[in-house]
Amino acid sequence: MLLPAAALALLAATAPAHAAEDDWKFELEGYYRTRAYIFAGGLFGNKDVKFYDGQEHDARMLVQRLRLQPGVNFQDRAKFFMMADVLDDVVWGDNQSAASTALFAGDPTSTGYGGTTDGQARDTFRLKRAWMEFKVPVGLVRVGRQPSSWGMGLLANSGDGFDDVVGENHGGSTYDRAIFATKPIAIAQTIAGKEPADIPLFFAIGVDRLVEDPLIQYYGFKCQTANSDGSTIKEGDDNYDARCDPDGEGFHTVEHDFDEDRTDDQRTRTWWIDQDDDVMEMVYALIYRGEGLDIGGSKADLTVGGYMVNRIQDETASKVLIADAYVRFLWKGIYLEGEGLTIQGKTAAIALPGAVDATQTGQTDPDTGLDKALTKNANIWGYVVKGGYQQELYSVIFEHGFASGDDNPADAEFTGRPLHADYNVGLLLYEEVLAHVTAATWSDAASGLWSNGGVYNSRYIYPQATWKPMDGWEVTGAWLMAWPHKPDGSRILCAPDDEVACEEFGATAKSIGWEADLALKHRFHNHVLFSLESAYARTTDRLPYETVGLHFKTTDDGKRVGNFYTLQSRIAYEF
Amino acid sequence: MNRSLILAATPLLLAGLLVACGDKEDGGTDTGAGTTDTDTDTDTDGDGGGGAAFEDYINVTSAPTGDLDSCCPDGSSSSDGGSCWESGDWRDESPDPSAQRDTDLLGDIYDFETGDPVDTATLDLWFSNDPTAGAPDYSVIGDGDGVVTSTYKTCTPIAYRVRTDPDLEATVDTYEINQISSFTEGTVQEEFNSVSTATYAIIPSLLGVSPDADKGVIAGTAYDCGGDPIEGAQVVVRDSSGNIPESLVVKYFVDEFPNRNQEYTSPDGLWVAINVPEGDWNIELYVADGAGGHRMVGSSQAPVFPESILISNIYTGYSNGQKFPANCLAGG
Repeated sequence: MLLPAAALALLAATAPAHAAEDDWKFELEGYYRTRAYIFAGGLFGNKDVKFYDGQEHDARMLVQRLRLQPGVNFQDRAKFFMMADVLDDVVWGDNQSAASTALFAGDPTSTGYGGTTDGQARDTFRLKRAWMEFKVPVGLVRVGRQPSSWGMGLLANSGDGFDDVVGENHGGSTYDRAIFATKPIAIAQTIAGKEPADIPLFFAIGVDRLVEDPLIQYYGFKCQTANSDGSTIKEGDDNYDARCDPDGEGFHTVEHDFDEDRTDDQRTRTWWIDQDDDVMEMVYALIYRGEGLDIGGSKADLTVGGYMVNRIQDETASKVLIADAYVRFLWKGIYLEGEGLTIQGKTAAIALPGAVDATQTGQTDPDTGLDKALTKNANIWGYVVKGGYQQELYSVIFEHGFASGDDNPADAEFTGRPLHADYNVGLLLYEEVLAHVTAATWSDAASGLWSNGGVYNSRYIYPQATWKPMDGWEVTGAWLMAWPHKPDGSRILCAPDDEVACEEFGATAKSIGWEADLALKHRFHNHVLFSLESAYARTTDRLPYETVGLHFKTTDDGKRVGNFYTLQSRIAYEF
Repeated sequence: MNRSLILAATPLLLAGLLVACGDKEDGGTDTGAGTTDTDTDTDTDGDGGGGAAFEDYINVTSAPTGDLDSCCPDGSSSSDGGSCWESGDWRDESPDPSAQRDTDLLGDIYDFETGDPVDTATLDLWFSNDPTAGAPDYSVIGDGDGVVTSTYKTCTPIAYRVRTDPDLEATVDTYEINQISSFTEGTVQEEFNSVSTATYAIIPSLLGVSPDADKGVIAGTAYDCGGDPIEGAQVVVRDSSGNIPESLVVKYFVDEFPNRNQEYTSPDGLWVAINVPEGDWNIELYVADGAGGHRMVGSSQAPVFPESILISNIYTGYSNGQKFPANCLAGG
C-alpha cells in the first residue's frame, strides 16, 4: 500500500550524495482549506428540492481544516515527517456556547462536522502521523505511523490533497507500519553488470500492527449461570459447559457473552504481553512503473501492480486475505485506469450488532473451534475502471465502479463493504444521501457499517468531461447513475426483480437514482485553489425517505422520489 | 462502537418485558381457538393496500415447546385433541381489592439498550391502563439519574410512557401496558424502559425492514403456563374485525438476537411486530395444534402510536396479557 510513495522515493534514490553532515533541509507540505456547503431547501421556487423532511430554507455551513506536514530531510538519505490536522473539519463559529449569549459570540469553538463525532467538540490540534524513512544499500525503509495509499484509493487512500472531480477528502488511511521497498531486478542487473540497470519494478514487504490489546474480552462462547426458571445450571444438565465452571465446582459459576467490552482502566500491567489478541497484517506489493515508454514512436506511461494483505488474529481465528490489482496506462492521450479488490477469509471477530448468526449458537465451527454463531465468511468485491481521452485543453472520461453489498448482514456471509470514503464519486448520491441513509438506519450503535460517503452496495457509471479554456482554469461536468447490488430492505429497498430474500418488495425502480455535477476550478498565485461545485440529484423509490427523515415527493403514479441540490465551494492554500 | 449492543440489550429486553402484567378486560374479538383465516383484503392501514393473509403469519407446523396445559381452564389438555382452549374460557384473574392501594413510587428509568439511567425523562402514568384515554393521571420528570417519584397503585394494571425532549431525538416514546406492581405496604419500586432512537432504528435494520415513520412497533415475549418463554409460537396483529394490516411485519429472535430467518419464537420467546398502523390492536399468539391447524393460546391488546414502541407480553391462558403477582390475588 505504501508503494507509490516508496516507489517515487526509490526512483530518486540513485547514487547517494556525499554531503556534509549538516546538510539538512526543512520541508513543509499541507494546506489550509475552507469549504462552504449549501443544501437547497427549495430551488427556484420548487419546494420539492430539499434535503431533510421539514427543511424550510437553504441549509448553509462552512468547515475548515489546516493540515501541516513538516519534514526534515538529511541529504535525501534520511527523512522524518509529521502530519497534524488543526481544526479538522471544524465548523465555523462558536458552536459550544463559549459565549454566554449566542447572539454575541465572538470566540469560535471546535465543533466537528461528519463522521461519528459529528456535532461534537474535537481536538483543536491532532498529530495524526509521524514516520521516518531512510535508504539502505538495496532499497528504502519506512517506519512509523504513516499514510497508506494504493492505486486509485478504493481500499487504501491517504486522503491527502485535492484529487477528486468533486468533493472533499475527510479521513485518510493511516497505519502503524514498518515496510521495506526495493527494486529487485534493477539490483540484480547492477550486480550482474547488465543493462538496463534501472528497471522500475518495485517490490515491498511490510508489517502492520493494527491492534495490541483490543478493549474487548473475547471468549468465543457464552456462559449463563441459571436456566430461564432461575435454577442453577449443573453438571449433567444438557446445557452444562465445563468452560463455564472453571473451578470444577459442578455448576456454572461464570456468566458472560461471546465477548464483553472493557475500559482501558481495567487493563492489567501486563496487558500487552498477550499475543493471541493482537491483530497484525503482512503486506506484499509488486508494481511496475514505467514512464516515458516508447510505444509506436510515442511516449507512454504504464503502471501495473498488485498488493496482497494477510490479516490475522489468533483468538478469533481470523485469517483474511485482501488482494488488490491496479493498472494505469496513458498513451497518445488515451487513458485507462482501473483497480479491483477482493477481501476473502474467515473470521469470528465481527461481533457487530446483528453480525452474529444466532441460529448457529452452541455449535462449534470445525475450522476455528469457536462457536459457529460467530463465524463469518468474508466475500467482498469492488472495482473501478476508467477510460477516456485526455488532451491539454480537454478530457473525456468514462468511469464505472462497483462495491458489493450485503442483503443480510446478520447471516454468516459478510459480503458488503463500501469503497473508501475518500474515493469521491459525485457530491450527493453517495456522499450525502446514502451516507445519511446508512448512518440513520444503522445508528451510532453500528457506525462501522456506515458508508461515510463511499460507493455503497451498488454499480455506477460516471462519465465526465473537462474543459480547460485557459491556464489554471477548468470546468468539469459529470453525470452519475447508480443501481443497487444487493438491496437489504432497510437501506436500499427491494424491487420484485431483485434476487434477494427481502421482507417487502415495494420498490419499483431499477436504479437508486442519478446525479449531475458541475465544477469550476481555478488555481491562482500558484498556491491558491478555488473550486465551485454543484450537483443535482434525483433518487428513486429505492430509498427509505420517511424512515431516515429525507424529503421526498410522491409522483402522479404514486412513487416516492427525492430531489436534492447542493452548491459547495472550496478555497485552499497549498503549501 | 458498542459491539455488544444487542447482546446487552436483550437481557434488558427480557427483564423489561417480564415486568408487564395487568388485569384489563378482554377486548379481543377472537377468544376461541382453532384454525383461522381472515384474509379480508381490507385496507386496514390506510396505505391503499389490502389486508394481509392470516396464513402469511401463522403457519408454524412444529410442535411448541413449553407448558401449554397446566393452565387450561377446564382441566383438559392439549394432548387430548387440542380442546384446551376450545371453550375460549380464558383465565380471568381479579385482584383482591384490598391489595389495590394508592402508594408512593420510587422509580428508575433505564435505557432499554444499555441499562444506563435516562437523564430528565418524563414518565406519564395512566392508572386506567389505557394510554389512549387522554391526559395521563400523572406526569413526572426524572432527575439526572433517571429517578422518578410519584403516586402509584399496587396490584393495578398501569400503562406508562417514557419520553424525552423530542428536539433532542435521543429516544422514541416508549409505552408499556399491563405493568402491575406486587402488593406492598410501603413505597413501590419499579423500573421503566426507555428506547433510544438508535435501538429503535437498528432492530428493523437487522431484520431488513424499513419502518414507516407513521407506524409503530410492538414487542414482547410469549410465555407458557409456567411463565417460561414458548418456543414454536407465532404472533399476528389484528384489529377488532380480525383484519391484519398489510404493512405488518412480525419477526422473531434467536438467542435474543433479531433474526430475519426465524419463523416462530425460539426458546427466548421474543417477537417484534413492525410497521403497525396507529390504533388499537389485538395481539394473538398461536401454536400448531398437531392436526394441521393452529390454536390461539393467548392474546393481548396494544394501542399503537406512530414512531413509538409498545411493550406487551402474551401469557398462555390469558386474553388480556395481564398476569397478577400472587400476592395481589385473593388468598395470595
